[in-house]
Parts: sequence; structure tokens; C-alpha cells
Amino acid sequence: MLVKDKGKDIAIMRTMGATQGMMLRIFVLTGASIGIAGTFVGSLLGIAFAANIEAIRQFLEGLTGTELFADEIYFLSQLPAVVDWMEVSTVIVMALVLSVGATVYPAWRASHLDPVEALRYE
Amino acid sequence: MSDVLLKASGLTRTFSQGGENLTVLHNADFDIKSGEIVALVGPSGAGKSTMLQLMGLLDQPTSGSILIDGQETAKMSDQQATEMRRKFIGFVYQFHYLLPEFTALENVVLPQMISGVPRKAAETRAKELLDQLKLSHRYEHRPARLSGGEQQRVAIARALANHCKVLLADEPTGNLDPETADTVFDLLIDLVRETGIGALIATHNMQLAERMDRILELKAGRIISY
Repeated sequence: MLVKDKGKDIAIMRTMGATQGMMLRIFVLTGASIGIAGTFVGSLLGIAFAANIEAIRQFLEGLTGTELFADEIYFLSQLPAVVDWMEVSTVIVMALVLSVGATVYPAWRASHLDPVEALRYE
Repeated sequence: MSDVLLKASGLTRTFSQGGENLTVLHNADFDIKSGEIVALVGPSGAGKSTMLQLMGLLDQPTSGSILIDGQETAKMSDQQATEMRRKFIGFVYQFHYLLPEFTALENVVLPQMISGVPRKAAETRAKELLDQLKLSHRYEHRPARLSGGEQQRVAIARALANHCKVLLADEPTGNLDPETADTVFDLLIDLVRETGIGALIATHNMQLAERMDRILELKAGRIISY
């Protein structure tokens, strides 16, 4: 998306003398920054959600006036949640690897964009 | 006026399309000396933009040679052509193509930072150029806050920021009203004269073309007068 939107900006930077390597680094860094920030915020939200699942259930029950996870159906007096730090770490590492990995192809495309095509007048 | 900055010899560009060859530039020979402003005129489709793209090392000729500052560039690798562009060539287009998220000052700083100029020195140079182009009150304005003439003046400052030796402009005033076009053109010509660089300026405006040192006229890919 970003690479498509920024086609003309990429082209004009190439005409200024930015190398293909520079363009690749710009888009890998941008994508990786978004990925790292998203992983960090997502991890915090996920851990907070899991650690407070019972309070969230009670809040939603109060808000909607309905009984979620009724004791007689689920045989639970409260929602069980255990934060397994090993799993949390695995998910964080996977998210980081995938989000950084996913930037490589679009960044490569950006670096190989033909400035002449991108700046052709509409 | 004697140093040849840019010399094209036997320049031909052919595109293959649907199994057919289309030659958009035939055997072009010309040169631009330092301090010289050359107008590139001709009807749409005559090959002006192709010529500028070849001179700007954004495309490679099918045959022929382009010497810039004495160096043969026609068969350079992408890396070599990029370095050559950074050091020697400035571009101005019909549309300003300023980066919208950056201020006028930052847009002029950017090419210098790409060339490795430290930020402070780049800002000093950018301010000098913007002052010369009568934009001292617009340093911190983003392109969307500038008028068409101001945007184009920032684009001129950006093109000259790296002390280029050859300025290539494709209809630099084509998108402006006649009065603004005159003002922008005067400022561009003054700056080019002052810096002593060579310029190749494509235009449809014959009045502007006649104010330049020479006119290179293209028709159907051939130079018909120079």
C-alpha cells in the first residue's frame, strides 16, 4: 500500500540520486517500525486482556445485563486464564519475524521502481 | 561558454512494442556548454521527454553516446548512473513533485542529505536558495500551503541544491498561469546564469524559448534545427 501510494516520491528521490539500496532501507525500516510498534502494543493489550479476563467478563455482564459463560452450562465460577510466558515470547518472536519479513518484497519493489514510468504524466 | 558539459552523439532510442520497433529518437547530435541555456521545443510526441530522460540517465539509449562532464554515461550501471545524477544533474518537472509531508526547507535539504551533506550545512544552503527564489517567508510551509508558482520555485531550489552542473527541465512553467510562469522562468534563468551551469529546458512556449541561448527543435524524433 505504502509503496503504491509513494510511487512518485520514490521516483523523485531516485532522480535526486537516492540508490536502490537507500530505497530498500527506507521501506524495510518503515515496515519494521510499524511491525515492532504493532507487536509491542498488541502484546501489552493481549497480556492485559488475559490477566483481567474475569474483570472484563463481569464488566460486560454488567453492561449488557446478560450472563456470559453461565455456571450451569460451562461449570465455571470464573474464567480461567494463565499467561504462559513461553508462549507469549514465541508469539512475539513470530510476529516480529513475520512483520519484518513481510516488508522485504514491497521494499524490493520500491527499490526497483522505474522512475520514468512513475513520473509519466497522467 | 566554451566547456562542453553535455555532449550527445548519434543518440537513438527505440522501444519494442507488440513485436514492432518504434524509434522515438533518431541519431541526435548536440551539446550543451557551461553557462548555456538550451530550449528543447517540438510538438507533443516529438521525443522531448525521451531526450530529457536519456540526458538525465533515467533511461539508456539504444545506440549512441552521452558524455557528461567528459564521462561516457550511455552504458553505465544503475549504481553509476545514480551517483552521476546525484553529483551532476538537477531535474525540474512540469509538476513540482515535492514530498508532501516535508516543509519547503526540508524538501531542499533532502537531496543534499542523500549526497551526504551534514544537516546544518544542507539547511544553510537550502535557505540561501530559497532566499534567492524569494521564498524566505515559506521555509516551514508544506507544499499544500504554497501556491503553484511557489511550489515550482521550491522544486527549482531542490534541483540546484547539490550544485548540479546540468539542469534538465521538462515544461517547468507549463502548469502555471502566464504571469506566474514569467516570474518563475525569470528566477530560473537568473539562477542558471549566476551559477554558470548548463540547462536544457523543454517548453511549448516559443516566447520563453526565444529568450534562451539556443533552440533545439525536435520533430518526429529528429533534430530539425539547432
